[in-house]
Amino acid sequence: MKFSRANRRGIFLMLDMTPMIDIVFLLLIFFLWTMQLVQDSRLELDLPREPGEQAERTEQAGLILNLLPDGTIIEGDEIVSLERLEVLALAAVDGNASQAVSLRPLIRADRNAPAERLNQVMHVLRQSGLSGIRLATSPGR
Amino acid sequence: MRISARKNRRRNERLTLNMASMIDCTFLLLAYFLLTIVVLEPEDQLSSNIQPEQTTASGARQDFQPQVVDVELVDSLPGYRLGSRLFRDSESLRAALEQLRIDSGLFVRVHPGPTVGFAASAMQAGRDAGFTSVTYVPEGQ
Repeated sequence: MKFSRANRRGIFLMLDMTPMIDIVFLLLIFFLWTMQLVQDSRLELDLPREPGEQAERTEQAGLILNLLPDGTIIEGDEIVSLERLEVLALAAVDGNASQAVSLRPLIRADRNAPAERLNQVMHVLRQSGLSGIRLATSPGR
Repeated sequence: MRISARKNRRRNERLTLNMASMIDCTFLLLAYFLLTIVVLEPEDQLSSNIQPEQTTASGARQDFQPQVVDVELVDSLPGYRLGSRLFRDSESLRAALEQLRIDSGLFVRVHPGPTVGFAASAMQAGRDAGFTSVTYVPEGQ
């Protein structure tokens, strides 16, 4: 390949960094804006593949339960028995006495978990005075 | 403090800001966010009531009986029973529910045997058919 004489004369080639820096700053702002600090603790479960109610919900669940495929119940980081679950549910009802009627615990149950286990959880929640639940679904699949 | 403006003006010096360190920091932050990003799948939910404990004190019957869908194993396969009709998939169940009165609510009676996914499908079919009140009835307790 033959180079032109212009290079031989020593013309200074400059790389313009401005667009790259612009893009980097835009990406940085995007990540800072969309960063989530809390939701990290969500257990990875194969939730029922249903669209759900597709309604914005703002009220507090009071209690978030995870139900694994083998029937294990997890609240936070702790494996809980049905007896312990009853204590937690009663505490949630007592802690939200003014809104106990509208308190709806969120149950994140794996779609392959036995329904019998979910029935046991429902039974305990019912005995604790709760009148409703919310079942988490995965609409994105 | 006296600033020698004359000196600056005379020499006609250009003040330059070194951007290299700032760009370094920006790249490091960008790399950090790219490495630590966690993509969470969106979740939705299905609300349902829990059927209260049966009481024998009241002999009063409601004027309208709710529609009842049984989620159970039939011939070792999960199915949805609506009256005498049996459905194997939630789509046909939804189509059948759409023909019914929706003002009296829907009871989803979940028997031991199927998985949570089938119970959720029945609840979703009820919602999609227009039932605003869906009640979960845990069986086998």
